[in-house]
Amino acid sequence: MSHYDASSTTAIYATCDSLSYSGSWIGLLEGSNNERTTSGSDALRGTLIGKVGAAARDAFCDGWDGPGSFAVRPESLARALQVVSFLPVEMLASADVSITPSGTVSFDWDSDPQNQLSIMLTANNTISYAAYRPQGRTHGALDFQYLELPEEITYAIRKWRG
Amino acid sequence: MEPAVKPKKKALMPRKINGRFELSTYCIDALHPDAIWALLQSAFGRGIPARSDFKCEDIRKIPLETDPNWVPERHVDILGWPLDEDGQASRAQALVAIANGHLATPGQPTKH
Repeated sequence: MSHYDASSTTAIYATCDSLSYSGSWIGLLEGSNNERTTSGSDALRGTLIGKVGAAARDAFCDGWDGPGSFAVRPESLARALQVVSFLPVEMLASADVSITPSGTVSFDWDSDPQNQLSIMLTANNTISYAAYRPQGRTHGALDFQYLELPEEITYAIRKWRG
Repeated sequence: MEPAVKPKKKALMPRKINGRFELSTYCIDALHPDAIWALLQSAFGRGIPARSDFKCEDIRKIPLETDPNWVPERHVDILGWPLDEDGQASRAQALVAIANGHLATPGQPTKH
């Protein structure tokens, strides 16, 4: 039952206090950040993997982002590392990594609100994407077999890069 | 004048509460900016670094729904989220595109 017909609303930016945890898989992620420095592109990929590790560390337990939030899924983490290896080098530095309240690893490129792209590692063997441009929005969930990114996602990446 | 800031999609994804997906917001009709910050600080029990403002008519075009349940006072849930995460992300991106972001300025409540 509505008591008021609001015409404008506001939302805070989500923040949370970090949980302290140092599990072995986090160590693996951080280790790969240090070891992969043989080339410029490897260094960028290593830095991005480090971002994945840092995001995952803050989302290790259910409830990490308030009621209804779930811990990061280990299988999503493993597939996130594979996605990093497939991304074009010019997308690596600008990627924002987060864990969603559902425990999904999300790579976001949203510094331009009019040209956004998200790639998400959701359930087993599935990769999801969402793309926003003024001309239209697309999104979907696809099989991900580790060998290459699905064609729909490589197309969305091409469109995002212009 | 409050500094503008671009919101992030990750801040605008819904949470599953009592079996439904919702994004918690507050009605700011007829409120001075200082009163908006005070409302949010009161609601969350701490200072906050930034906020995003939306016009409800723009929200409904996405399409999402607004539920001004007023519990607590001025509370409005944004509903109508798809169950799949890619669909949710797509609508959160649309919210980013229509949002007016504001950073808290010195003298206003800040995160501690």
